Amino acid sequence: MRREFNKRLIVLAALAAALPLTAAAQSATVGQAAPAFEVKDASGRTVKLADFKGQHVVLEWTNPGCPFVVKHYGAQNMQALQKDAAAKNVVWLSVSSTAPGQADYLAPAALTAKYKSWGAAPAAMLMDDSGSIGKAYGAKTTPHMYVIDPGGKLVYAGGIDDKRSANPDDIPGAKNFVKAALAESLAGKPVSTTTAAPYGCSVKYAS
Amino acid sequence: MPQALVAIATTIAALLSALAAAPAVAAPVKTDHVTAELVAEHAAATPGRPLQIGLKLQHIPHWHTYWRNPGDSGLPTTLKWTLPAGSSTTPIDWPAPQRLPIGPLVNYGYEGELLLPLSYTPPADAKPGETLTLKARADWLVCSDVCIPEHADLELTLPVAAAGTPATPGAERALFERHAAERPLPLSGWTARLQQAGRELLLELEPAGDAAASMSRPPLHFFPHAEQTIEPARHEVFRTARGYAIRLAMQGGASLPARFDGVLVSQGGAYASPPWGGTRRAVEVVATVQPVAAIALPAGAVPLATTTTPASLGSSADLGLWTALALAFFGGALLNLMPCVFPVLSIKLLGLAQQAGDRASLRTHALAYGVGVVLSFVALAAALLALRAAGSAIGWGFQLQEPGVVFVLALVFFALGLNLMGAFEFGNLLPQRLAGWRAERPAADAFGSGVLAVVAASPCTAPFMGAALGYAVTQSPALALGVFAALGLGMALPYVLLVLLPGWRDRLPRPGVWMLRLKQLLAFPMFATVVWLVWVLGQQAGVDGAAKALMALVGLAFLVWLAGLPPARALAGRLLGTLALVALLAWTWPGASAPALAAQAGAAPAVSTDAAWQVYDEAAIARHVADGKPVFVDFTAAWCVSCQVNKRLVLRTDATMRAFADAGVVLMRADWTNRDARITEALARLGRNGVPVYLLIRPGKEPLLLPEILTDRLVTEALATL
Repeated sequence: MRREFNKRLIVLAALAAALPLTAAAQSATVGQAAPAFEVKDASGRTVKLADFKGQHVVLEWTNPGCPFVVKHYGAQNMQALQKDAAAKNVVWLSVSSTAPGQADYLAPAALTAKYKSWGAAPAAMLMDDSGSIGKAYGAKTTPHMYVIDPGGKLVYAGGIDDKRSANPDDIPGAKNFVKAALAESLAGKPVSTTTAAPYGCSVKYAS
Repeated sequence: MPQALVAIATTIAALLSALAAAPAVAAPVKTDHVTAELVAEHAAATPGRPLQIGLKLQHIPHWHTYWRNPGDSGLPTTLKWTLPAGSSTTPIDWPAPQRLPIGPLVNYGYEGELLLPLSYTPPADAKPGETLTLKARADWLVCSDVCIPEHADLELTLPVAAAGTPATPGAERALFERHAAERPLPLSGWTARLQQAGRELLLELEPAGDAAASMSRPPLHFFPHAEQTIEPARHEVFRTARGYAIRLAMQGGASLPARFDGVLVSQGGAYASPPWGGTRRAVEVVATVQPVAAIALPAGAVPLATTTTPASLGSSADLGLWTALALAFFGGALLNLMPCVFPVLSIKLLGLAQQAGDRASLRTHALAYGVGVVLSFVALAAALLALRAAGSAIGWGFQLQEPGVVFVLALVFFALGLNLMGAFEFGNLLPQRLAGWRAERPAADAFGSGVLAVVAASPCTAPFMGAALGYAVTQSPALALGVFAALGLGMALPYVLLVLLPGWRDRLPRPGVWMLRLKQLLAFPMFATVVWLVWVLGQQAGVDGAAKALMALVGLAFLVWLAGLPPARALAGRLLGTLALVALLAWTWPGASAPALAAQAGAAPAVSTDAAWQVYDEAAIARHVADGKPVFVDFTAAWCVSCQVNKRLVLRTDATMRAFADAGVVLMRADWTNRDARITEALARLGRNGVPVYLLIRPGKEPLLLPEILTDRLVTEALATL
């Protein structure tokens, strides 16, 4: 028989109370140094944020089971952004913070195969199974986008564009914040829109 | 000739229905997770006068859609209208949301049945007799642990009535009325202040004057209107001397407006009235923002638990399917030991022992009995589910809330008792052909005994059954029937096993006078059951109803004696006897007594006869809890044997009453002997569907459910947690 509902709820409540506090303490703030991380990617390589000092870095939280992620990949929007970034020597890191055991979780090999079939071209797919990087950055949705300048400062954190929907028809007319932030930062100008409401499915952290 | 008449009748009917004003029509759209429909408060629109319409969403269990501020993720439901020229709509008037945690994130949204209403103003130049067609494209994001964006193209046609015609209510009038009663309205008489120190926030809420001293303090949830401003997951509620303080935190990069507004929703279920008085659980607040150097909690602030699901002492309140099936199975097995079923079974076994029969016939007998039991339970469950689907607020034991059913049961048990006594034999009563048919078909006979056993079992509820049945009625019909089938299997199994056990008949002494005496002895528990059923009938139909039932029993005995006399075997005698029986039943059939009818109509509760126990009253419970007094609620019914046993053995004893008095507990009895929609709803909220249910409501903590079999020790344990 299952444990008493009461006890389970107390434990959950305690956990839920503890986690956001830690998240708030480390939450990434635009204009300040982006939180450091060190994690294995889907091919087993260890990736550190410090490895990319001197280059722009884009962090893209992703989950192949989320209709909002499928919206951007299905319309080749995300892939175009990734290719554009690579051409400009920007490091594009896709991050999966889905906890193993969640319905959407895919093991590294399967995840790589999936994104390859979509024609995605990130520099690496980071396997943040424990969710610590996601919580350090305060990643809430998939997609949730962050742009870091060559000095390690966070210059953009938020949604990918300003049309919050799962409809691919909304992509052409939407203002893409990542594109704008990269363009301005690469040109040495301050980023005009540093934050925008992120939209998408919630990141599937461990419950 | 008849065909022509039918054709004429059909045409007339069609004409009449066309002439009658067509109601506001909209076809619901069903997606995988939601059924969406445009609904209107009234059946017709009048030119230029605003009319409440809305989007009705029925979610499948465990799936939700979002509020205007969806929280950490998600998207609010949107409506894009295509309206007739000259008409307009207002934005959605959002009902109060609930917090939907997912891991460390929190969203704000809705589950179950939802109405998103708004106001529609028809064109001023609309002509009566016209029809207005409103089209909307509804987009929503529906999630459980995955998210699916869905949409529907919906249509609502409204006939235009002349200005000044009285408004006829639409089909969903009740939904609109409920929304009007529950929609958040501005909170008056309270001050709301938001302290801000960097990213830390403290929302302080205090009523004006000295209302703070006596008001109840159920937990509150705060939902800000502005998106992406505060962290939804950071939400700690404190009770302060003067009111409440809620600790919040801002999101990185967000900035606060000078006046910070949102919705406050009082939690705590039906047993805690909102701190601002009245019955409206949701209010709108606007807080002035006050930058401070550091957040300071007022002295004496006490954190409030925000869980309101009842805890359980000794049993799990949250069942899965397999647990429910197991509980139903064991409960069914235990039913065999209940005083309703045990005598019937003993008689069956004795009768079986007397008959000759080889293993094959025993197997058929056992199987037919088992099938009879299971099918009867399933049929009873199907009736229960069908009646609930039709809107009746009933639970298990519903058949006994009907005085007619109790009356018939009393007659049946009396007849069985007379039969055991030897006053008649079934074979003598039945026509020759039917008696022979019964003898030839032992399987059908055994099936019939299975049905009879279930009929006899219905007044009794075994332990474990309550939780299993409470689970069953919240599930789909297929799963619910499965649980009831498990109950039937559990009940049938002991008898079936016993019958199939090899050689048990050889162990019994040889048939003789002792069997006759045993049969006669078992008649007395039957008669005792009759007395109890007449007592229940007395509660339901008053003393007159009980007296009529007793008259019916006398009449039945008389008719049975007459049937035994030789002249009765002729056809005329039989017909006369049947007529006499029907007349007797019609004359003595009980109606409900006045208090019972009042309870069914939901009128104010009557005065209780037992001085120590008050009548169940939710408003009174809220008042007692506000005063800091615990309340013990005994959900019971006269026809519930386990309830009566618990009452006699535990609840009415001096020791227990003393323990209650020492703890300052207010005692309340929710009497479900007759149909009472309020009590059915209260039981459903606790995850139960039948009685007995024992609930200890503790101020400041979540309510505690006690198990169905009470002992003194359990009561002491429960009181110790206060």
